[in-house]
Amino acid sequence: MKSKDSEIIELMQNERTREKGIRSLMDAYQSRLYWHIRRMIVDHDLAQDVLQETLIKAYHNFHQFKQDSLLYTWLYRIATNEALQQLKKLKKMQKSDEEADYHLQNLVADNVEKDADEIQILLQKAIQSLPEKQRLVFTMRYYDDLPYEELSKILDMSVGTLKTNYHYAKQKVEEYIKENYES
Amino acid sequence: MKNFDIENIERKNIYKTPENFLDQVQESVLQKISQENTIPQTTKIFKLNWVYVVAASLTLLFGLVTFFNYEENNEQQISEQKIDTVYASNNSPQENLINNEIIETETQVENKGSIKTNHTINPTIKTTQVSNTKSGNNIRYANQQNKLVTKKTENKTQPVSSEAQLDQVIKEMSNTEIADIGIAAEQDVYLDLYN
Repeated sequence: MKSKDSEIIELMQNERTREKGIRSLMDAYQSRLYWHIRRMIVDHDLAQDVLQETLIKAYHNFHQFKQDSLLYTWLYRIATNEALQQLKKLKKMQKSDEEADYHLQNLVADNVEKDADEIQILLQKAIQSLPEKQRLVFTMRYYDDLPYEELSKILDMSVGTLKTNYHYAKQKVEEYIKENYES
Repeated sequence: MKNFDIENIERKNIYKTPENFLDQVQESVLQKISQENTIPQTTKIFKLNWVYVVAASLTLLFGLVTFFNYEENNEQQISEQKIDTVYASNNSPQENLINNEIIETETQVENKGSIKTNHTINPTIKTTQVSNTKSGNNIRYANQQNKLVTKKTENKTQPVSSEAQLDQVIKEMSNTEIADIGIAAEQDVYLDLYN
């Protein structure tokens, strides 16, 4: 991945090859970015819009990438901010934060595949019941297996806080599944 | 589910997705990028600072107010000049005699009492009173309006307010003269309100 990243960076830094660079970047990371966004937003159309915005911003602001972090860390940071912006807009449409979370939980049922496991569905609902920061920490750690050091750069949180957040999030998710699972 | 651990669950993406949507995303992103690159960016010639806008607006407003005030004052001055020429002038009494004064004529009055009217210099002046005598009598034709004008103008070098002049003239007139004016003049419509 590191050699791939260096190629992408080189292509993106040269104005003549920037288009080729963004194509390579999208091939390498757009799927991961999409699912990271989708787990936050649940709705496909909104997630697709957020992904497009993320990639366009990455293209226009690539000169700001200082290479003091990994390329995907920088991309995840943009995607996370865009997703949070979208969630803010959704919350404004709802009367309260609780209503917004309840709305997202209901969206899970409408968006899952037909043959999805009950536990998998409960897991997604449980994730939507978490506070935003905990939700981010949990999904990036649980699904993307990102190291805490990289998570720290994405979320501007210390490694200790991140670990604490993940621990509490995991407990809540397990309790939710136990309470709601019908064997 | 006592010893349930989510770490043991398979990491799956269970949400529905359309087919080939990632290809569509790529095309959309590349299209937007190429559009932004082809559209010529307009360069600002100057930066419109809001401070200058406010200053320009205030200057324009001040100019308009000054202009309209000047026009209003100008019109007022013109109307005042007209009033001054009608009710007050700087001419000497002698000149007034020539122009608008009471004209005395001597005429011979026939027994029938025919009266010859004397034409004044100002043809618009109306004659209001005529006295008949048999012979050798002086016929005095008095124009009440001119009399007012004559009495008003007495070597005044500076224009005086028309109301003050009018008050002075009325004081100098006798009751019969005032009554004559009342008969000849049309009653002010608005006086009905106070009768």
